[in-house]
Amino acid sequence: MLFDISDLTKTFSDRTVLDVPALALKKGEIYGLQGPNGAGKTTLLNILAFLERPTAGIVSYKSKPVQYSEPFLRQLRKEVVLVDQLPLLFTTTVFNNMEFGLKIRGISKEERKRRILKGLAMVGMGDFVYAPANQLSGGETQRVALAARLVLKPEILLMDEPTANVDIASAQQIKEAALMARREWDTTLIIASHDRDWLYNVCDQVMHLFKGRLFGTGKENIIFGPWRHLSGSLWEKELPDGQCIRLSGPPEPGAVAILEPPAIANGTDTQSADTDAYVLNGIVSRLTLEKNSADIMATILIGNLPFTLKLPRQKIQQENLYPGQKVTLIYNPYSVKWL
Amino acid sequence: MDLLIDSFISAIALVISLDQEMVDIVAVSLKVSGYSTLFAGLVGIPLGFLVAFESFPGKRFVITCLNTLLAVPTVVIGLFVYAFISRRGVLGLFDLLYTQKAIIIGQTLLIIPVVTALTIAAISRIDQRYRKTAMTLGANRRQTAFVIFREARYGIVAAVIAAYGRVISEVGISMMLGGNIRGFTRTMTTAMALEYDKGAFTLAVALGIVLLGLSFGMNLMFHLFQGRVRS
Repeated sequence: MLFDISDLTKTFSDRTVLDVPALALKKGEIYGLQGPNGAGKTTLLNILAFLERPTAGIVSYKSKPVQYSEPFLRQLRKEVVLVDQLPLLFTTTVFNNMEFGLKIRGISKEERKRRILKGLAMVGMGDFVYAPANQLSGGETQRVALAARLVLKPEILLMDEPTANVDIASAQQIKEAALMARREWDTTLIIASHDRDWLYNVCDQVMHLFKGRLFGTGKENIIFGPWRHLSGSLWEKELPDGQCIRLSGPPEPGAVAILEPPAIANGTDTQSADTDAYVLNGIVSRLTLEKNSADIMATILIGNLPFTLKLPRQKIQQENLYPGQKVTLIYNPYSVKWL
Repeated sequence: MDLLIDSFISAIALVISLDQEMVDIVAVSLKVSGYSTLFAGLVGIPLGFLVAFESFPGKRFVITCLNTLLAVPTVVIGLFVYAFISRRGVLGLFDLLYTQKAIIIGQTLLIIPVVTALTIAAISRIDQRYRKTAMTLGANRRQTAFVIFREARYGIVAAVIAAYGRVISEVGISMMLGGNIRGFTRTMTTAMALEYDKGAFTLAVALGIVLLGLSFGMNLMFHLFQGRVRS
């Protein structure tokens, strides 16, 4: 195991922003990290990059517990590098930016130059070697920042929303360069991103972080309150298009529900009065191929609320599903976890 | 009004002709101000960097004290230094009073807080992500500090320029500790005060023009560096 984390917590001013009871990350894998803003993704990446220390818990790297002393951390930081969501380049040339980490590692001048030219070519920035870094666009800055990490041939590359603030062409080059690092140097990638399609396409495992806690695979459907009591143990929330979703027993009206993936139920079995309460009508908005299985991730919009479900290819063919098609979802109101 | 116009025309002629007395006075001013800025920079820049870069208890209190010292009147510094270097003072045996060294000591003390406070401001303005970037690329504390210093370089130069502008135009310290001795400790500001007392405005206005020209140059450089900081 590269990372072995147990009972990790991080608090800021008595507010727990991260609570990870256990997490193990293997070498050479690609991990995805999903979650809304403020979920704790950046904090987790900073801890994994040895830039922040956890408030409590044990972080083991290559089977050795991490000692939070500066000389020890500095050695680890030479193996684990982070690309920030909005990276900064030093106010000098692109070449000097690229050279910074290499010089620190004592790489020879010739080798530095060779790696810099290769690294910039990997991200499509080969023409910008001696350009002033502060005159680059956001996408170019992001690509140079990534290249400056790639030339270090890191064991682990952590990327915080690498494609969130860049154009499509830059995003594509960033994605390709990251995967090339994996192929060439067996670099472990940990990517926090809102780009679900990309994560499901490339990641060996996608983790979902919500309110500082890791759960599931990122395919769960999160539904925010407020909830209105209906009858018995059933509570409901009105969706933007007027439909209501009914679930069993939230701990409080403002609780957040994590619903097991519903099923596509186009057909006669959903028409009876008994099942009306557990049926929702929506539109297929996206179909994405999952990396490690031949399954398809279908995103169904109900109002503007996206629901995700995993379907075998045969089911897609059988139901003749395509984006824009109207579908009926059936769900179990008791298959719910509350946060 | 005629007096002012006549004085101004004569002063322009004096400046153009590079009058020897005026040149000597300007040279003394530039020399003492240059040395005091140099010494204040040697103390203030590392001190400011240390305060801004490191975390320690009482940091905010130190910054508040430094900001308070920015407002200390020059005559207070003059009086304070006088108490040390006058014949009865603890440094009296060095015979510093009414020398250029005395002015330099006073002016250095005057602008150390200026350089320190503006260096702190320059370092504090630097985006924290520079530190994070340097660290994730494997830099140690010294290398990270160098990165921050390099990013703040224009702001630090602007701090030094502001400090130079402060001392070149001060009068209290130069008068109290220098004594306004002709050809030796007479600076532009003390000479202007003296000429005013004598009712001879020509040299005073000429020095005023030179001083304004220097201040304008300082401000121009200051804005140039500030502009680079912002960009």
